[in-house]
Formats: sequence, structure tokens, C-alpha cells
Amino acid sequence: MRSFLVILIILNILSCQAAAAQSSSARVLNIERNASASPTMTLEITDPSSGTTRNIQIITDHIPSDIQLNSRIQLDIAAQQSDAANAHDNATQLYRGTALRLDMSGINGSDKTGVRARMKQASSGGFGSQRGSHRGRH
Amino acid sequence: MRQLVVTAIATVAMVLLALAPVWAINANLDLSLGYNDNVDETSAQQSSAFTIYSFAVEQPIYTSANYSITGYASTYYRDHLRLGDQWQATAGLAAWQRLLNGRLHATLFAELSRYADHIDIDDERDFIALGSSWQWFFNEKLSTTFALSYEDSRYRNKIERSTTGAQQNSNNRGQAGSTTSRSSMQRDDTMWLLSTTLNYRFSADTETGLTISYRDNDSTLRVESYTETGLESHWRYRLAKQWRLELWGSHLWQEYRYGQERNWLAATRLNWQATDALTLYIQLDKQWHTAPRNADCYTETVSQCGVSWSY
Repeated sequence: MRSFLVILIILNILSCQAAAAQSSSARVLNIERNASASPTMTLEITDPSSGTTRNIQIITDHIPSDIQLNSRIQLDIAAQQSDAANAHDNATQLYRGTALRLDMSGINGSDKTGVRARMKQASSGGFGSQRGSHRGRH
Repeated sequence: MRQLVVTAIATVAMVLLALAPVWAINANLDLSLGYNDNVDETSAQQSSAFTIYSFAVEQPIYTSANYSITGYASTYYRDHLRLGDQWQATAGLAAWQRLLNGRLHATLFAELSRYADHIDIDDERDFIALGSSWQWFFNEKLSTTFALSYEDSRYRNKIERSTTGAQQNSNNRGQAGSTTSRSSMQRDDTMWLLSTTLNYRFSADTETGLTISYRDNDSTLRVESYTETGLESHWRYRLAKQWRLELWGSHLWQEYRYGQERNWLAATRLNWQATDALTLYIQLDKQWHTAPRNADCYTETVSQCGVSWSY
């Protein structure tokens, strides 16, 4: 039973890594909200295979409030390439209408459950660990 | 019995894995090596080198763009080469929801933990924690978080206490003496923690945060009951593509039944992100603690370096 569970977990990890290679995430560098025009975002995209980065601009109708500076967002590469045909100026890599969503996968540092922060505080060499106290023991 | 428990846990885990999207598992492995000049946080100043191994795994059971339910488990093992080891294991369930088109994020969690301490067995305990946090996003730079948590601890070992008192002789001839009696007490704590944090991002590379917290710990061991007001600030800088610097500090005001204690902390951490998944770091923490009794006053310096791997 336990051996079967270990094999299942290993298969899970391998399939996770295969999936990670197909997705692409971007870091938000800047957001400009103009009252008279659609908001724009400057994104840093990292090529997962080479590790090189490039900046692009996206113009969109709406940017949700939880997409903040330095947020990680997920990009659909196929949708981005098809949208490139509608770019205002392809030389400066300005895209329009690309679907955006927050990257909450945890791979890029998201700690949605907060467990990593709690364990980091508990394990970090003693301070702030709330591991009892010492009053009245001397 | 043990075989039955293992089989039950394995069955539940396999059912959860079967129901969950298999590609969604996240894990983090952290190994660090360091030196602590006051492991037990007392005026005795016992120092030791240490190693810490920690592992956390999260598996979404149900997930969508706006809400998710995640099961998680984590553990750390901290081995002080001269003094002994400590470890903690935690398992929990968290629900996250994105509300008002992303304006508000809400999180609920419930977790069970066991802490073992072979340096001071009085600190060994089992505890449950329940908590909720609410993060409001004002714009792309400013957000605020309110958090409330409750923790119920049952200490596994009874605390041995010795008390000294005056005693009148039974024949009433005026001969008074002192006696020392020993007793053991069961320690159970309940703790509430309320905090609010204001985060501001100056740019994609620089951010800061300020947290105000209030903690109320009620213990059956009266000397361990206290209230605490805390102020904490952190700064994070992205120095270059792969380099990040973190600075943080805090000041705590702790009110015990017998007096007031103060704690100051200053810490810094430098991260080098070798790849998306691999980060190397060095960290230095320094804290100062004052108390009415000299035996409870101490300073502590912890320096460590490590590697963290996520996928």
C-alpha cells in the first residue's frame, strides 16, 4: 500500500514538471491607467527553455486590482501569438486583448495557503517561533 | 492499530490525489546550515551550529480562477549539533476565494501540528490552528491585509514546578521554617492573534510593509499567560535580475502577570535565484530581549545559509 502511494506521488511530480514546461509566466513591471484610454501593462517574459527575458506591452480594457507591480501572471502563449497580428506596432511588441490571470501556482513564490510563511517563521533558527517560553523555569 | 492508521491515511491520500488535478502539486524543499549563539533564548547563552531540513507540499483538491481548496503538509527538522534536535509536522486544509473581481482575496485555514523538542521537553506540544485573512487591493501599489487566527495547544509533558513557602511548626512554639514543595501541572494554552498589514510597492523591484499585531495567550500555567502588541516592518529590493535583498525588524511589547518584557529584532536576507526553481540564500538575525528578571534577558544572533528548491 505504502509503495503504491510512493509510486503515485513520483508519477504526480513527473507530470507536474512536464506541464510546467508548457506554461509561461510574466512579471508585471508597470501599469498605466489613463482616464482617456485603455490601461497598459509592461511585462517581463522569461523564455522557459533559454532563460532569457524580454519586455512587452499589453493594452487591455480592464486590469483587475489584484494584479500589482511585481505580480506573476499567466500568459497563454498561443493566444498571445495570434493577438500579435492585431498589434499596433509589432516592432515595440505591443499586444492587445491578451487574456491575463494571476499565477497562483506556487511555483513562483505564491503562498496562497500561508503555510510556507508559517513554517518559515517556525523553523528559522528560533526567533519568533512561539515555541513556548521560559518564565518561571529558572 | 498503527498499520490501520497508515492504511487509512494512505487511502485518504490516494482518494484526494485521484480527485485532484494531478498536475497541480507544489512543493518546496529547503536545506540550511547555520550557527545560533543562544539556542534556548536565555541568559545562559548556549550556542550551537545547526542544520534545518524543511519540506512543504500543497495539493489543490479543487481549483478555479476565483476559488480553490488546497490540502497541505509540511515538516521541518532542526538539528543542533551540540544540544539536540527539534521538529514540527503540520497538516492542513485551506480555502481561498477571489471576490469583487479581484478587489478582495479571502483565505481560511485549519491545521494540526505536532512539535517535538529534545532540548527543552517542556515545550513539546500538539496544537490546532484556525485562521482567516482578508486582503484588500486598492490599486497596483497598495494593499492591506487583516488576519485573525486561533491556536489551541496541549503540552505533552507536565511542567514540574517547585514552590517555597513559610510554615508554622505544628506545636505552635513560634518556630517557623520554610518548605519546598514540588508539583506537576498540565499546561494548555489558547492564543488569539489579530494583525493588520499595509503593503506598498514603490516599483516592481521595491516594496515595503508595516504590520501591527495583537496577541493574547491564555495558559493554565499562569506565568506563561501574556498579551503582546507588535510592530513589524519589512523591505524587499530586487537588486538585479537574480538578486533580492530583504530587510525586516520588529518590536514587541509583552505584558506578563509579573511585569513587562520587550523584544527587538533586526534581520536581513540575501537571495540568489539560480533558476526559476532554485534559490540560494544567506540570512542574519539579531534579537534583543529585556525582562524584569536578569535570567530572562538575552540576546540572540542566528546566521545561516541555505538552498531552497520549489516546483
